[in-house]
Amino acid sequence: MNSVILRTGTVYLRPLLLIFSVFLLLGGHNQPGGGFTGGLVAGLAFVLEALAFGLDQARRTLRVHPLTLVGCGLLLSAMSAFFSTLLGKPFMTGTWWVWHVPGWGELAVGTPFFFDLGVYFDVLGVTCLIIFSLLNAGEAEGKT
Amino acid sequence: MEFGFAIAIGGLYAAGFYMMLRRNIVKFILGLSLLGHGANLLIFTAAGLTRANAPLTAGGSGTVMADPVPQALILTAIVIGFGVTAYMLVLGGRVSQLSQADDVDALRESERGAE
Amino acid sequence: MLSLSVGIIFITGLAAPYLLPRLGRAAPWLFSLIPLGILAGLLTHIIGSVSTFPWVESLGLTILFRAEGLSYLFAVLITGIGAVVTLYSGGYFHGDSRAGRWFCFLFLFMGSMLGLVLSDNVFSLFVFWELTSITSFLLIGFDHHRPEARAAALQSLLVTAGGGLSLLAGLVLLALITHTTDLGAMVAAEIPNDSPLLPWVAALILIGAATKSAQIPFQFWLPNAMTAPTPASAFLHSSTMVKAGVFLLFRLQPLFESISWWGPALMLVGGLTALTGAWMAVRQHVLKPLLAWSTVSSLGLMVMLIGAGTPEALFAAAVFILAHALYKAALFLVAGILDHETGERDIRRLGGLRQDMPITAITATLSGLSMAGIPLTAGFVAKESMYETLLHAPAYGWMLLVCAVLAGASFAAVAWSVSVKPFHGSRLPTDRHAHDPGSTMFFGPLMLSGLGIAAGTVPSLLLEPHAAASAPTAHHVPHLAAWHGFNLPLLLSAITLALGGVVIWLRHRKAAGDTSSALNKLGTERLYYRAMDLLDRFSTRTANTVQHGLLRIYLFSVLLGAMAILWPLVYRHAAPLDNLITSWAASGAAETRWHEWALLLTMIMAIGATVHARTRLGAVTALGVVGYVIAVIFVLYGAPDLAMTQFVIETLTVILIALSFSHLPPFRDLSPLWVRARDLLFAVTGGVVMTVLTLVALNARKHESVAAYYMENSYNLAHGKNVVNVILVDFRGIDTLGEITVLAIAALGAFALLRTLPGRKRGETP
Repeated sequence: MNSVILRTGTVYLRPLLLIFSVFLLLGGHNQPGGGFTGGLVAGLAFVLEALAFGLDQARRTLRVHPLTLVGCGLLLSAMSAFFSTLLGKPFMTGTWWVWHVPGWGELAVGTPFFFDLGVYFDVLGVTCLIIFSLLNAGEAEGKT
Repeated sequence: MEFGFAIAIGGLYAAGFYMMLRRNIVKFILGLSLLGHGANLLIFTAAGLTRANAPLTAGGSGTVMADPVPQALILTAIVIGFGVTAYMLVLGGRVSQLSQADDVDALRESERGAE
Repeated sequence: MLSLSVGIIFITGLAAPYLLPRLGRAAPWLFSLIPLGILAGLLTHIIGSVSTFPWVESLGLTILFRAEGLSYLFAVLITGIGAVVTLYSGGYFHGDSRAGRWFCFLFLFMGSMLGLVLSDNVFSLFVFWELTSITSFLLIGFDHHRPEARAAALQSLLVTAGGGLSLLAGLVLLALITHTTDLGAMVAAEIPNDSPLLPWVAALILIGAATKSAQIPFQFWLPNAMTAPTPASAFLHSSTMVKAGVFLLFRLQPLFESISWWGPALMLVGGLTALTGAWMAVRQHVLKPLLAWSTVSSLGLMVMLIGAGTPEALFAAAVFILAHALYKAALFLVAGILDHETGERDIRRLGGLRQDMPITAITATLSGLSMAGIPLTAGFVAKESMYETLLHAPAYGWMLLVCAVLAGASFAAVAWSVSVKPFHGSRLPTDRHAHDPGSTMFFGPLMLSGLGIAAGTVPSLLLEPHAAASAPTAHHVPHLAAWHGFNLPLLLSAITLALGGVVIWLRHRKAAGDTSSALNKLGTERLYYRAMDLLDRFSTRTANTVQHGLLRIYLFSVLLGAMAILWPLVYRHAAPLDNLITSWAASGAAETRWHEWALLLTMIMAIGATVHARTRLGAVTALGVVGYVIAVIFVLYGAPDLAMTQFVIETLTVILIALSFSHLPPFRDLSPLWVRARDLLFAVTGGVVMTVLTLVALNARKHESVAAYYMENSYNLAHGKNVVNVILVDFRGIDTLGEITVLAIAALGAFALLRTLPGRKRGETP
């Protein structure tokens, strides 16, 4: 795909989509959003880049192999789920740390957040893995 | 409003059934996708439609909010549906590429036992 | 301690492949110490006689091990002969890379067999029973590269495991009648004589026992099982496993005494088996089939004695079980030595080996004497007590005696063939340089043979206490003696030996005759092959009918089934439906805003376009529109999370479809018009059902939504205001964990499918 509009659009869209995805992830607990949506939006950013600038460029931007993302995401979610068992509580019990930040209010960070972070990376990895694989196969097809 | 939704759901299912019974592998996958949409909408409608606010508890106790349970269920279903569709697409694409055919009936040889 | 013993044997078996290379030459000796240690524990009663082990506690199933009476006798046999066979295997498989696997199977069998005889719970007995069938399958098919080994293994498994099912049915019925699952309690239970189920139980259990103990009409699998390595034949197929059926009949005999046909049936089956085995045995010239048919004959005699049913007969059966195990295991091991050292299995080509293999010759002679029933051997004592019992049997005594004498004569002939013929006469040339085997191989058989003589000389030492323990009634145990003086049984013994001599002479004269006629299968084996053939053809036909490979027909069947279930459900709610439609048509239509109607209309048009599109791109675009409309609906009805997800997913799906099928031609009409019309009709019907179902479902809420709980506690418990997200990552987090795992698997699958480059694969497909 060699479209000037797509390329130009992607240059501006990609950072916006990535920032939006982080916003969705962080705010997801209190506003619409969350790991699933955030991960998908981030995935979309990389897919756009791959379509506009080619697979190699997208791979360079992503830095790690999508499979690594999938694995790390799953591991993070599973670990945050098992965390409570270390404290002698049932599996998947949420554990929270609450601070009172002056000028902000209550800041609560808990294992569900890390769980959501795991979901984010898992979904991002899955999206990139499938689309990159398809593009890769398409390129190989074109060469032969 | 529910009545209109019920008809739309019926349409989605009917189109999904029809497409899945086609021999073309792409149509089959599109049918699966339509069926997924139908199921999602069915759950959404059956839980009760309301033009209310999103289920965010910040709105205070008095406001009417949409039911979050079917929403969580559907969110999961959408993403899983994507995974399944993607896998089906890759598998179907691969199979049709290897067999040089888009006809699902052409694949039956691998299913048949010795005669 | 008993359950620990069984457990240790199993663990040794599983660890054997890892231990063997690390232990080196000492391995067989060390392995044989385990059954030997358990044997010592049993004999000295250090290992207690009762042991329980919780199994499935929720079902009230406990494994109760009890080493008393017959179980004790069998446990002694299994561990004793097990130790000998383990040691012998060390020599037999010396330098063989499969030795680890061999010891694994051998110990797994030993553990299963020990568990079988010790189980007091009938269901754990059944499990161990089937485990012995499975391990027997593994051992018979040990040389799995040989087709005949595989066939024999499969045959033995099908026959014995099939019989096992019959046994299971019998045991379940028995448990229902007696209200207990304990074997001991069952036998002691009071069962009304006219219980209509009892004869069925007896028949089912008899079938199970007959398959395991190779009784007519299931005798054929045992001689075929001789493709197993010889140590397995010595252990499983002569001394222990094949006696499991006898063991069970023995244990349950008191239960079925009241059934009029029980005794005669056992006597008939046993007698016929004894005669068939005897007849087939004397016609063989190859060592192992010869011994196998004589084993069939011996098993027949045991069943016959149990059928006679008197305490004396049962006692005689126990004595015979012990004596037979001693000499038959030893003779099998000798046959293995001959095969191993000379490479020859046909006794007509073996002769004069006495000088080269003196120890083997002595072992063979001692066991042969016992088998032939010469005085001062265990075999003689067993035979005398059998004749004595049958002379006083209440019914059919003389017929049973004839069977016993004829079988005994064949045993004498077999003994001559195995233990005299190969070692005496002129030295016949052999392929390999014949010599005595290493100590691991001759030690065990020599000891068993020696024990046979010792037990026969002083019966009160070994035979009497162990056989007496198994007698159902403690008082009235006949006294065993090495010599009873000149009486009727002795005369019968003499006749037996004379007949055996005649058989040997006849055989000698016909030695040049061919064996192919002797190997002719008996009728029942042909039935087995017929049944297998039928089964094969039936499954092929069924598979080709049901698994026709047409995806759309599979789907059609599935959807038809779903509709068949849904229709009646929906129909039942059709009555309130009239009200529903009218009320909604009135209220809903008025309430619906124009942009909502526009949305729905757009969606229905897009659905139609998806179905009707002539190009892939058109269809994909239309599908995308359907998805986006649904996303807008989510926005309008308070579900922003869903809306965002749906938007992104829809975009990705469209990209995916566009990428995956770029190589395919545009849509064609593959199905004829009438098929399309039929499918359309079906699809529309299905759609109507779903529409009605939606309306019914709207009216069907019976309970309050669980949402209220989540709403209330979302912020307090989970510090989150977005309830949907809190449900996903906290309240129902385990579902999400499963879901992302599924996603990861789907992506991995897609990744793996695409990693193999298409160019390479395509070359392979025509």
